[in-house]
Amino acid sequence: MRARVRRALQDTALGRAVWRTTDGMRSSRRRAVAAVDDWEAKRERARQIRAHTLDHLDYYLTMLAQRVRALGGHVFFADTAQDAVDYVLDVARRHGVRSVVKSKSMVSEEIELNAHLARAGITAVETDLGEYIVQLGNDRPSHLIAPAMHKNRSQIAQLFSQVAGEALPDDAPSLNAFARRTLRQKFLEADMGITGCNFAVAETGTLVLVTNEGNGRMVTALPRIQVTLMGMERVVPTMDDLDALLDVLARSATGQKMSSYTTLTQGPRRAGEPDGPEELHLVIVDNGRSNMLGGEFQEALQCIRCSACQNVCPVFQHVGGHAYGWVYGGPIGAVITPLLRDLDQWGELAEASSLCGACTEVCPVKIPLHDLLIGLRRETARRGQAPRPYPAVFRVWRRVMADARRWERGLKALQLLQRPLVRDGRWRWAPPPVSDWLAHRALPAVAPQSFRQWWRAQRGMGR
Amino acid sequence: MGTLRVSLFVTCLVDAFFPSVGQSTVELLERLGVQVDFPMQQTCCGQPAFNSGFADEARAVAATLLDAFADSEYVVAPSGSCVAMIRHYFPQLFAGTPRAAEAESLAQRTYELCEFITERLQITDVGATFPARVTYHASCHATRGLGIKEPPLRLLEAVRGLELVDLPYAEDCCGFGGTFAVKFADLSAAMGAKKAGHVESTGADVLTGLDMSCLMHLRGLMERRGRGPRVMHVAEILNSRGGAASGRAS
Amino acid sequence: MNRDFQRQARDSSPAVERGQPDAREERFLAKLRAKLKDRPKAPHPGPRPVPGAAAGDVDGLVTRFSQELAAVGGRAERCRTPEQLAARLAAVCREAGVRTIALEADPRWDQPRWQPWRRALDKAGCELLRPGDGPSPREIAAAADAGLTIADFAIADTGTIGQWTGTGRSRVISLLPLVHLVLLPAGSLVATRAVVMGRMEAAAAQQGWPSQVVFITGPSRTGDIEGALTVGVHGPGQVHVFIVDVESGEDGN
Repeated sequence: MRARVRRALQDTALGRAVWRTTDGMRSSRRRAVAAVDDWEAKRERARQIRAHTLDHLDYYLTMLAQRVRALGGHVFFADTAQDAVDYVLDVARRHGVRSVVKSKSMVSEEIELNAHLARAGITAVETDLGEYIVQLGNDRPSHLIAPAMHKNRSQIAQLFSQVAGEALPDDAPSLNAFARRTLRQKFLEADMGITGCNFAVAETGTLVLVTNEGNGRMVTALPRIQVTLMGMERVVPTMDDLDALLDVLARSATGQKMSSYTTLTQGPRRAGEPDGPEELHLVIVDNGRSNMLGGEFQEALQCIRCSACQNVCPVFQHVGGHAYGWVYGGPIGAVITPLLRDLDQWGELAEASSLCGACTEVCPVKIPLHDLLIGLRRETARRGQAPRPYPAVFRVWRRVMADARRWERGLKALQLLQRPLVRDGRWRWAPPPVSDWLAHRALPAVAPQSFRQWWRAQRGMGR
Repeated sequence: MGTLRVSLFVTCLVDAFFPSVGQSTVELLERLGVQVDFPMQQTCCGQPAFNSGFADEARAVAATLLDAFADSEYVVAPSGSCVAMIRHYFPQLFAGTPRAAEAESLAQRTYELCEFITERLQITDVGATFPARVTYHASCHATRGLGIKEPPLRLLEAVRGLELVDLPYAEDCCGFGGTFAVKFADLSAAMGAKKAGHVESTGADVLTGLDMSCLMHLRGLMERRGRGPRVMHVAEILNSRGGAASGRAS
Repeated sequence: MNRDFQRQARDSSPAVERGQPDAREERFLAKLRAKLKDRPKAPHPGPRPVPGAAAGDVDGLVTRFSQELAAVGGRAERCRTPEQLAARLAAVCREAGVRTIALEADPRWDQPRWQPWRRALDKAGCELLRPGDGPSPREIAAAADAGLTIADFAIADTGTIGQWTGTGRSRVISLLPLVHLVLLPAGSLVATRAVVMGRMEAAAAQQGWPSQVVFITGPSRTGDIEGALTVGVHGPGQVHVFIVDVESGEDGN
């Protein structure tokens, strides 16, 4: 992550774009939340619903699958990314699918579905405007709900102009009009629509999509086959619970009271209805989520992907989502990426946090994100994978600090040893890792008389 | 109310680098009629190791505080961060060990300095005089961790001659973050530079706060930038009786 | 709030294709059960009381609804008579450059109490495109300047209108054209989403849920290009709601 962070910090255009997006979104969120009388009660209810559901996940997923099937839908449980991909490809092949339109799905990013579809000769088009931009740029989303925040207007105009075969003006309305025209055609032609899933209601077999652009509606109205990819944790028990979560989702995300479109889908189209999919498939995906279930990190599965933690995170605000190296950025990404994938390889993400707690403060389902980051660091250290030289540093530190007499002797030693290295009360040189501090900031010398030396001199031996 | 007895937890950082903050804390509390002692067994709350994932090391060091403050009625520290460590994480750190009850007990008896003055002593005017334009850095562990937002502001507002100016984006982290400051030094510095920019925009003569860790980081950055206000701990301002010149920059 | 919820499930595919429970699924769920075996179970907070519909104050709801919709970039106005509707519709269409309107094949148009309002549409000075024996709703909607639907419910608190699917009713009349015109019976307006959800749940207990329910709150929008708010991304860029004082009575079919 270090190299990616360094690159991101050098990219001043990126820094400005990320700051603008996140600062705008967190201000909107703050206003929206301030306008709600019982926000804390709403958060607490949302948390309770999510915690309860996860503790009974097998029960609610069984119920959901039953209901969806009773409504005429198909349900498939995918343990791995490969299982999910194979199932979607199989459905596509059976129906001779040539073209696919997609509304936003982070699960499909996880399983790299577009690449697999392409290899099978199927064209998949992202229809969320930001995701479309990201797809044209052969890129990855850099934010949960503003996936193309890292691209500026002229970069977007360039990408669109390549598709158009002519130079397009770079104002937002023109670019938007081009996207509308181009993607409209894709919607009308597509054989299959693939969606994500904001929530699924177990009791009613409802699949819920929340969008602002309306692409979620397009994808569930026009193609004859609908495939919905759902992270297995997205289920909620009842419609009332859904309502409680909708209360907190849009406000936490963009500060809207409700997003432009909230779609509740109960099975495929019925007899006598002129449109909607003839066939509906729900793919319930694990892909590493069960690593978190039942353990100290289960709370991370409460996440409803609102992006509030990203928008307030000072690290994310400086480096954006790509620096996290995979699909999910920001505090939630730093927690779940190592758990979904591999702690040994991704544990470093948990180090890239000042533990300021801003994420925990805004999370609408009260995930203790900064505590989970500490938990990951603990787990990494337990495996002997903590970054060097810290295991050694803290072994020495413990030896000195666990005994006040050693600490006092240590202070005296430092007062002597630092002399050649200190000028005007500031360190001029220090060994690693302190040298990394000095690379950016001044560091004061150890005081010639420590507090405890002063106390001893002034007040005797203390108690 | 009889004389309150308080044990000072000075924190390792103040002990080694900023003794004047500890001295100011002692003098301030004594001036407010509190009897202060300093148990010598104390070293550090263990937070650096705890936050880095080294729980055993943290526990061994944190135990020095359980020993030092076993008999203290109140423990007061000039740091939001270290108090947050004791209040929130000591019970977790010692859970399931023979010292669990001691950790719970210490968590309940420990206060951040400003919180102690406004909430235990019920004082907002400590009789200080400090003619300067001051802005206040709300450190994360004090505000979010302990919920201490108003006490330091009330205390500073009551200081004679002091003009308190709002810091834009006050709730944003300064980027210190313990070992984060060296593990991701460039990122930490970038966060600090943004904070320093906000601080400079206030035109304040002095930047103050509850935590010397954040302040050391910010002052270190501003020294390298060659501009920015003086940096002082709140205790030093609250202990000032004369002109700004008499308040020693830590 | 009667609805055209059809309960019969489509059942054309063989069981295996439908992905009936199989050994894989059993293994998947057993894995979750094993993980959760020793975990203390968090209780469910319980259902919230279903709020009763506040009787009476239609004017208050209309005002609130109009304000909230305006705040998200839509417009609402009240038309107490079919004549008013005809005049206002004509004006709105002129202003928006709407010449053709795709009309949803809503069974309500055939009800006597809706007839005067239906006739008012003919006087708006636009060509009405109706799905029937000829082109499909999607073809009509894709070609029309505007789509006109009757809302099934509306929420004053958020400026939201809602529609559900049913026999003959299309998902795309309210979606494909750049302008969405909505007739909202004043009596269908309630204060909060919780009221709507409660009513829908009560109705669903009798009739099941429709295949789709859509909550529409203002125009289609995005901030994906440098955070600039842009409307009409995929769906309508304009949402215009005419709150009509249609006689109360049997809604739906």
